[in-house]
Amino acid sequence: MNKFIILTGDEIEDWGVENVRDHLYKIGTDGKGVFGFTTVPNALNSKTTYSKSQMDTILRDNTSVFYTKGY
Amino acid sequence: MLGLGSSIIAPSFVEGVTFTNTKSLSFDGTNDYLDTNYTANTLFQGSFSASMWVKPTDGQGANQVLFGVELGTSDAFVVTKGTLGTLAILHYSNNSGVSSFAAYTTDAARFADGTQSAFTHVVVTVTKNASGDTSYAIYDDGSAVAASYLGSFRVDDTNHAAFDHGGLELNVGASNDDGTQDTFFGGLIDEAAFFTKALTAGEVSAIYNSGDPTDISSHANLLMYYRFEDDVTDTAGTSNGTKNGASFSSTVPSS
Repeated sequence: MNKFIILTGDEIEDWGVENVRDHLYKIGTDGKGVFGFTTVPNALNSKTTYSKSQMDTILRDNTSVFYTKGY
Repeated sequence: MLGLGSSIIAPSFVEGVTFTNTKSLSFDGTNDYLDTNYTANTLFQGSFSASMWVKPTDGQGANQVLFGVELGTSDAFVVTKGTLGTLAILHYSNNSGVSSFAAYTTDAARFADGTQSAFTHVVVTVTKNASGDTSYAIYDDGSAVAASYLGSFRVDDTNHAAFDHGGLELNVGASNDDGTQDTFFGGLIDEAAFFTKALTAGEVSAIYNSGDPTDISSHANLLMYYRFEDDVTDTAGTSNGTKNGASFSSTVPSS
């Protein structure tokens, strides 16, 4: 799992909540979700994809809604 | 009738059984799990809680289930230690899409790799609200921790009450995913207890007991209680477990 995509609630609903179980990585304090993939599904190809290092930067940024204390 | 010279032997007082905790259950993160042999529909159709002491093995960095059962993604309840070391609740109920699904994760990573030198007391509470959406809380060492819901997804009370996982049995240390175990937990779990109510903050604090496991065998609404003292007996009810590969460890939580 080295590719990450951020989705809003509406985008998750379009994609299918049944997919959340296998790909949920982190929930932001704004309710958006980070989802991790080895291969990004076609349905999400139009979304911005973050690398592991880019996502780590976001998760460690204490101004980010995805800030993960302790990570 | 007693005759002259007979004696009455006074009943001896039964000494209060001293609570001791000498063992936990060790899971290898590969294929070990505990089957509670309990089909959890009734539990998951109302308010409930789970309490356990957890010490993940460092260096695994993968999604791992503390306990759970899943019938596809129509009816599932799993609590996971995520890749980042956060805790997550995933709840699907009654296969009704966005009104029967909720995801809730802690904002901080208590179980980040490289930091697991001691047990953490974890409690998850689930409150089925009448005419409203189900609410959740996650406690870490006696205190509620900040956590976030995914979008506006919630399980409403009607779908919550209709949870039906098709007779699958609740597993600890893995998810019973359609009858096949996956997402195995690696590390130690001790004093696993399930309650038919949402524990209050005060009750959670009392169970945490400043870091020393205490006897909760007489706690209100205690449904199942696995102490792992060299067995997987349900000391509260009748759901004696079946141990699949897990072994007993002398490493136990203490303050």
